[in-house]
Amino acid sequence: MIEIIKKRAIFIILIIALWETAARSGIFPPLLFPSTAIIGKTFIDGVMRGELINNAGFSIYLIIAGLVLTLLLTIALSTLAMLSRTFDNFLDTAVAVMNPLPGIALLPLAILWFGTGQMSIIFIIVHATLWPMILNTVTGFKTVPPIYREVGENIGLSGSGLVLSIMVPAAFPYLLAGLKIGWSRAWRALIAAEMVFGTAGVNGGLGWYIYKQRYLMDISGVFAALMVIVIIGILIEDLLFGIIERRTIKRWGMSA
Amino acid sequence: MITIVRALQVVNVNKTFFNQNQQIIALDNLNFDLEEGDLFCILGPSGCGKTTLLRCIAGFEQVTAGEIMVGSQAVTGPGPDRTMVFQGFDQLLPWKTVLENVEFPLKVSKVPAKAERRESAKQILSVVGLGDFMNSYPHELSGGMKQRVAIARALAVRPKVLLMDEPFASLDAQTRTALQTELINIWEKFNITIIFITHNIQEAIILGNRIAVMSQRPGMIKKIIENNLERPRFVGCPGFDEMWKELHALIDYKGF
Repeated sequence: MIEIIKKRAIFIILIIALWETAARSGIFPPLLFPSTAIIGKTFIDGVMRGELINNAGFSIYLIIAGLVLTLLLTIALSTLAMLSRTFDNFLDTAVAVMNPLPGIALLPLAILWFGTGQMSIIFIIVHATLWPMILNTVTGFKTVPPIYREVGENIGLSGSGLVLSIMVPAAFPYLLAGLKIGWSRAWRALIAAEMVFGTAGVNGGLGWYIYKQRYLMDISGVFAALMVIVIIGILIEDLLFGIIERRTIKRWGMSA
Repeated sequence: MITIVRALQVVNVNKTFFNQNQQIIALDNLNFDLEEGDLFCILGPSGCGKTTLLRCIAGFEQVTAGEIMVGSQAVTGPGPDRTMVFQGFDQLLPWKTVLENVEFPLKVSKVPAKAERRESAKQILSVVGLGDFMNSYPHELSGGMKQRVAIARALAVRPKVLLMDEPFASLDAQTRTALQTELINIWEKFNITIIFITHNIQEAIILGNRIAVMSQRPGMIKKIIENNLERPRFVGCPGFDEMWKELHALIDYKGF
């Protein structure tokens, strides 16, 4: 943990120094390329006024709602795929068709179907995350060493008991990798969708905030919001996923 | 008048595999009985079908013809009355501690009280000498320790027959000898019925009270030898050499 903080800190300081040098050199107009001090001040102001916190909170709420829905759907659909070969084939085709389709391309449809509310954004998040998660989960299930299955059957497990007690934990490295991919895709889909919704006049979210600040020519505000996105990303990747990995697959000596 | 209880009966068992229109007879008309408390060794060269036979008894494979009876019940699929100890070191569930691995079959078998399951698992683990490693994860154990845990797990549900598929074949010579001695102790202590597969003549002599020699292609029982050598047995103990020569002459090593 300390090690990773050190590693990150060195690079972050380096980037800030480079940035500040570029900003002070006067090559770029200060309006478009504000100094770190101005960005820092805007960031602190935004946090103090609650604007950044509220918008980040709204974005995180949407992402959690979307991911929970995705997780439930993934477990249900992947379990069905393990129990029925026909359904497995169907799901395989569904993933092949839907996975290459960017979530944002479905946004016009989502707006028509669900309106410009939260439902549309959650729909886009679920679409962005569901297919890679299913792909990973089913791959994980299929690569479970046959011996775990046999051990389970040997002590009297079958059907959904076998899936939940043996297949899910045995495939956990893949599930976690799927969740990581899902998380980063959800984050992108969310910001993109919020930006489009900003133009449609719906309040809330970091994407919308960035869009609004650009409109007001508050470039340091745009950078402050980008900083929030980066900070949340690092916290989730290093802290949350790092902790989950250490407590599960690293402790168990498993890896994907 | 003593009525002999048959723990296991193998009646006219045939097993045929089909491989690209080619018919491979793995087991050809096998017949034998196990009495309760038998330690029955099946000895044969690799590829003779001894593992296939054990997998049929475990219920992982269906017999092509014939019948396998445990007590008065015909085998139709895997079940906890016939628990298996596999050869590989990867048979423990890596996401469970040693104690949880041994408790797990008890949980599946609906032993209701957690305290009772725990107590029972702890007791068996101390019998196999792993009382101090109950909270370790499998990847932290040596090969010999893993096989001990696997034996403890298989014993936990008190199976009618314990199936052992060359469980000591991947161990170094010293550990193997130690575990053979321990298996004899367990067998005497728990008074269980064991089928033990091996390709090692020495191991068969030291363990078995009966030794079935299998021939290959097709797999048939060539002869069943009563082994009444006095225990504890060791290489060179009275009668060992004669029996070794007899068994060696029976095994055909054609093609190996």
